[in-house]
Amino acid sequence: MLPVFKLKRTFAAPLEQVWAAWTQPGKFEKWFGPKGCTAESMKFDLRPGGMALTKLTFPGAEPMYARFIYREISAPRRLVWLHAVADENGNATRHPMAQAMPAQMLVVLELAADGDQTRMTLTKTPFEATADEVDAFRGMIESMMWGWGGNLDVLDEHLAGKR
Amino acid sequence: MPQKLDIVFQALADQTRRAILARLAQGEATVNELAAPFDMSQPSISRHLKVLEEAGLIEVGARTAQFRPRRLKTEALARARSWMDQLWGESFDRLDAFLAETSADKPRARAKNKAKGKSHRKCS
Repeated sequence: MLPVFKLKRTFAAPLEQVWAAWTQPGKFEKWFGPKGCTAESMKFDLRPGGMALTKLTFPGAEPMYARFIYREISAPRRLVWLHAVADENGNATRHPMAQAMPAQMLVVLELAADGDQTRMTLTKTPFEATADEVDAFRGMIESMMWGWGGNLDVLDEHLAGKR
Repeated sequence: MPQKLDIVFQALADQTRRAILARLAQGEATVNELAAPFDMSQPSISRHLKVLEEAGLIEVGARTAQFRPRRLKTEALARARSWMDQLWGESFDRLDAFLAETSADKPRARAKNKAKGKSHRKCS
């Protein structure tokens, strides 16, 4: 079994609005990326097999690129893509700080309306990774579940089937 | 410049080493105590401890009589976590703020949702 990283979060906004934030250029880059970075859409081709390439610029550092290759688009509830750090041409590379991690992850985003809020579940699994990369990913997930002083929102491998 | 995390991820990739860390999360322990749950020679355990030490995940505590207990150092683990946090958690904080901003411009969308009578929103 491949290790799965699962993250849940509820947003105080209607489902369609959260879906739009993920899938519309002009909205997506307003929030995507770590704190302090500026995101810019280089390419946004939302269809199965299409690529979105987002340039992330950090003050005083080399820009990074996030690459999505979409696999499934079921508006407004489910979005599946292959996630990778990439170069400016959209070729997958390694994360500079974490070469031991799998280069590509399969990400499944699921949204569900809850009144005028939206519940989001995001899962990540290694994609076409070596055994060592899978072990590194598994180790990271497990160690994060020991629960010391972190502020990661949710880590619950056992919520499968909920909803 | 942030340090590379690979040495931490590689140290965490092994099940025995994760079990050792989980044990140390409860408090410091000697090499003998750490070796007890494993069917493993002390030199093998010591090798694992060395990997963990080099990754900055554990340190050797003060010498008490002949024992030198190991204890957990949480900084390296915190860095590995914040790497994951940065990739996703911070994005979602920003998404939260972005949604709050944009929904302020769209009172109609909210009104429509409310009309469904399924609102779980707290009264304010």
